Amino acid sequence: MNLFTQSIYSGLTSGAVYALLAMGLVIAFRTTRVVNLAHGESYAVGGLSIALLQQAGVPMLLALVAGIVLGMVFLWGMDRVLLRPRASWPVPSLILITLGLAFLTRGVLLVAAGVDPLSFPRLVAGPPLRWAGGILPRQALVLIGVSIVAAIAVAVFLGRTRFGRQLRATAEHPDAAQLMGVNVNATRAVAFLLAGGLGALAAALLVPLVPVDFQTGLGMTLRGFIAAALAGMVPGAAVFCGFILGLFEAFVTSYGGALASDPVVFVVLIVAALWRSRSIRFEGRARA
Amino acid sequence: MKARARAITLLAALLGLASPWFGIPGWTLSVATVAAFTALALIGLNLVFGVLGMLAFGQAAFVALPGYVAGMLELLGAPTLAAMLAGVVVTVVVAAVVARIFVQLPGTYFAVGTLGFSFVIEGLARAFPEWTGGASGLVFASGRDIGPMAWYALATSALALGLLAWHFTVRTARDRRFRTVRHDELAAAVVGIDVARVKVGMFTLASGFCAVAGIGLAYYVGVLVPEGAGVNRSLEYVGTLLLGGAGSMLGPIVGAALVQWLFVVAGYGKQFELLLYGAAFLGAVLYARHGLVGLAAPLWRRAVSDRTGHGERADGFGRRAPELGDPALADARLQGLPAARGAAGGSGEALSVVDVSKNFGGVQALRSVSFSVRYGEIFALVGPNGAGKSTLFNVISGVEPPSAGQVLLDGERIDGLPIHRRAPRIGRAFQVARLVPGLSVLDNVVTRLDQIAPDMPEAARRGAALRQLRQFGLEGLAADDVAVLAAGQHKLIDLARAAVGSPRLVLLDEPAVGLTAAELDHLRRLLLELRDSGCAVVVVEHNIAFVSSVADRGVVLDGGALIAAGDFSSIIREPRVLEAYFGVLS
Amino acid sequence: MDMRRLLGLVVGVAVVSASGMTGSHAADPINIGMIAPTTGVMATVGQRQLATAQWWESDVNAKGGIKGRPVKLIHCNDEANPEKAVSCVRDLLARGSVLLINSSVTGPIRATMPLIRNGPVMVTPSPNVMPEASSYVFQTSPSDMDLTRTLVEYLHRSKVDSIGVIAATDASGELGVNTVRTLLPASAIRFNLARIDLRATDASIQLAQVAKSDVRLIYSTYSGGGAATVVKSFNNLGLEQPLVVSYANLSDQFIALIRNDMPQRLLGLGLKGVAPELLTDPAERERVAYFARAWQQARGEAIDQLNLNALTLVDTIEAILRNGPDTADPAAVKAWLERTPIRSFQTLRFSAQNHIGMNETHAAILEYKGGRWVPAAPVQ
Repeated sequence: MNLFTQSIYSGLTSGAVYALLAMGLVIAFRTTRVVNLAHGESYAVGGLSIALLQQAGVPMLLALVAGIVLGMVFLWGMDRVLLRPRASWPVPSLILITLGLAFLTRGVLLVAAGVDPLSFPRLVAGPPLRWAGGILPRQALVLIGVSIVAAIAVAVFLGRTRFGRQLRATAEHPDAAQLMGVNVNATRAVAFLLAGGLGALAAALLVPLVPVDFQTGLGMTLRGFIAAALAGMVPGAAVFCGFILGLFEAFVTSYGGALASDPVVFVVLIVAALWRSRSIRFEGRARA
Repeated sequence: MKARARAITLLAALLGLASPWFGIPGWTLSVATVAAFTALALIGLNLVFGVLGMLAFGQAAFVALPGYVAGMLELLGAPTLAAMLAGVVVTVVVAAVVARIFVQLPGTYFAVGTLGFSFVIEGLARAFPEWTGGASGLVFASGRDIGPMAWYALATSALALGLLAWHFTVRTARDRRFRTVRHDELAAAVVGIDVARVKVGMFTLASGFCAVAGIGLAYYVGVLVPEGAGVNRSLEYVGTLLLGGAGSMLGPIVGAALVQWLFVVAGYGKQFELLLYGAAFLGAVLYARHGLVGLAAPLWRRAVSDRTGHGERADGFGRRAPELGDPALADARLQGLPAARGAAGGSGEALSVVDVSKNFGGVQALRSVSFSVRYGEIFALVGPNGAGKSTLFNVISGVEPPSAGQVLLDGERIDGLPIHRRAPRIGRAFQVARLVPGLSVLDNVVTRLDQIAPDMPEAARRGAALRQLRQFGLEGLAADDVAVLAAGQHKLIDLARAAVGSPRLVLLDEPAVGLTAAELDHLRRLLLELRDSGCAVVVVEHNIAFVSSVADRGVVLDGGALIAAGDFSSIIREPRVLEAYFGVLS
Repeated sequence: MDMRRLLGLVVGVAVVSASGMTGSHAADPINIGMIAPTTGVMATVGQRQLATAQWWESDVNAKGGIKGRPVKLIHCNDEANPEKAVSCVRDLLARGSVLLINSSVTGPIRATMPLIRNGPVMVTPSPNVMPEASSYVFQTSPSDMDLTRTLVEYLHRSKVDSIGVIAATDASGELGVNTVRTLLPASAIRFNLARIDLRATDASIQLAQVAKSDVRLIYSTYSGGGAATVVKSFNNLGLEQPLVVSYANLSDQFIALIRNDMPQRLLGLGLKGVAPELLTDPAERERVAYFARAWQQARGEAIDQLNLNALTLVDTIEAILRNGPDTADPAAVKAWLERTPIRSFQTLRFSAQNHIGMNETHAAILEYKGGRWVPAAPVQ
């Protein structure tokens, strides 16, 4: 096996997931200015519920749909019940709320699904593909493809539709947007439904290859955030940065060892955060 | 009065100290020792998270780091005490560096940055097993010999010292400063607080608490594992503090004791532990912003208040009800302020804006704007929406640097100075008053004096602030919490804060917005008084009727450029001005 | 004014505290402290062992206890976390445990060892723990080195001279790496090594690193539920070599985790008792059969490696309590264990020089076939 090729394949596979997560994180961030630390839980909720439903004998397709819907409802519900009624709270308090929800979700998932990692059968059967000395499961190819298609679809949605423009208006100035006739609440709802759907979709495609357990969520949130931060919280760039992060992580693991991966990736995060934040002061309140 | 509160406090402390012998299941001496050290670390977290509101999500790194440093030095043959000391020192130095880097980050990025730091330390501890013991953990053998009682005594004494240090850190004047930073960084900078320095200082100090606690934990527990520096542990600390009560003195102790005890008791509850913990965390964030201590505060108030009804306010900071100062004490002192000298002269050019331009990306918000403001005049800045008034205001007060041009005050360039260094000479009031709720009106005003007259004793500062309030007719509100007052009153208080300490220049952003007719009259009198005291007053205002009644001179901005300048009553009649205004309005 | 009342209360508190301190008197049951991770990444290791010890507790008590006294097992969940394990030992000792069982994993076990420098005796089944003969710790499995010798013997028998090794980044992985680096070159076996974070969810890069074309077998030293990740990625990559999993993973719970991702040949490095046909002594076979029947009756499931690990622990404890000296004298217990063979399903022998009860003769390479572990045929 060729390590270089394999690193590319593995990197693209995890990168596709980070891209989907980062995109959802950014969309929700743009409507609320809150970094949602429970974002990755949509991945865990989606993945674990699909696995549990499948184990309970629910047909695969139904389980998949149910899992994705659960992921969507999860984040939408968080916004509707926890964040939206507290829109006047300071941003740090809202971030703490999302962190609290992440903890609670982890506890619920532990009780519901147990400690062991769960998985479910692949959607695409057949032997893995062997190209250029690397091995790529067919499922992973589908994952990468879906992630790119989803990225393009979301980009078109944001750029060419009324909702997209409303979302950007809301992100710029919620009060002004409301005055201009944008239904801010509906915009938020769609943003969180979309974010949860993308997270659960990532799980639906990756979990057959990489099992999920109750504590996968936080790691996914952090990975998604790194990609989003690198991208400066711009949805299109987030997809690109998700793939870059996946590849970077894979190559660090391949050539630096598994032990190097966390420190290196997070040093990159810190540098990226510094680089990106030079222009942001006073939490965007500079216009006062 | 106070004796009763003291007696009850002392009794509670003694009961707490003796609690491991009460036979409470699971609350053993060793659990109490760990809880005491953990509480000490949480006091550190409380300083940054509870007091300054910084989302420090990586504090476990500063608890584990000193232990690792000390343990590695011991392996190299260093004597135990020297290794411990080195561990603390190295940690504090690292924290100072980290703080300097991270403090530039806005809240969200600060949170994820500190989280990342925690990951890095955990990862490094895992990656170099030959030095750190890797995942098996670094085992400390030397600490076990002094016996459980000695450890308990050590842990509780360290905690007691930590509480004292906390008390000293957040005493009155600093408490005001910290609350202002926490509530509103821009307002803090405008009253003269060096926000970055306060944050760096606090973060470094906090790491000292964590480091001492971490050394204790490492040697007492006897093993240090990478997870001890990690994200989960860091977030666990945040959760524990929130549960106990963030921002309050006792929050860390209540939280640490409860959580450590629950770990033992609920540890047998297996998989429900995490669920309960998550629910408690979320519940605290949503419904008990001041944790268990906050919930218990009313009981405490009732317990300590005696028949005369004088109780200490148990808002966690141990602050007393505000004492009013003595204006007489302040008079002599205030005259010595550097800012006061210029204002007393009250003549000549105060502010000069020379060819100032400002670009945001491709948008030109200001195009070489020039004008000057004299002492003893009210100068109006008017123009339609989007004309660049706010940008110009921000450039003068230091929120935005100009892209080109100069800003001078008394002939001295100030455009390179950070906001807080302009504060002694420039007072600024905001369109929506940026006061700190939870502080009294007097405290809000004193905050500015804390910064610009740090050498004055507290009583004199309070006196000066009170005199300012009296001048503004607000003396009756001095002791009230600003949170209970109306918006109109807020604006006048904000103005009083901007004017206290005789700044040479006062900047007012739409002072008339939202005021009643009576309040407008009051405001007009105040502005004229301010002018007559020799101060230069710059007003941005939409209410042309109001501004016409006070302004001496002014400029009109449109599309980022000056379209008129001079005597105010004449410039607003110029055709170009009318066109700019009514063209937009119609 | 309040001072007198205050003083009275302080005295009261002191009296209450003092009475609390003197309140311990001999309890009737024999307290045995047990540390086992029943949550967290090592839960698969701890839960089964705890259940076995609990079976033993009720089995012994149903037969009238030991010397007329019931046995009481006190469990403490350390979550495989060294810090918690240390608290567990402190807690278990405070609650009057006369002997300790430590079914946790390498790091936590090592962290607890300094706490019992003066006893009581602690038994542990982790092959990665090699207690000093001067300590009060007794290890009831073969050492990691012994187990790896068993693997080497199998490789020689199969004429395999090149393997891939996956080790965790945790304590067991550190030891595993040292063992293969010492033993394999000396046995003329080449190896590629890659390490994986216990919390990682994908091992394809690590497998790509070690599964070169001339590699005819992959050995995962990784124990606990996390090793399912290795098996999953092994399947994702469609690798065809036999995969050897280590000691603690010869469990039903682990098989359940990987049932959808079975490699073509799943081998395991375990005790001969797991495949009783390998035992030569009829008495030893009988002991396994008895336990298997009782376990089947009690729990409705077949026994696995983890049951047997726990069985060696409780058999050692029972032997001490029935035949050994009074546990109040830990030094005497230690000396007794060092000269007395323990009859379990395989006989354990400790000595004054060696606190490891088994060696490579107790272990074998097994293969999972038809729902059970059987002696493995050589690699083709």
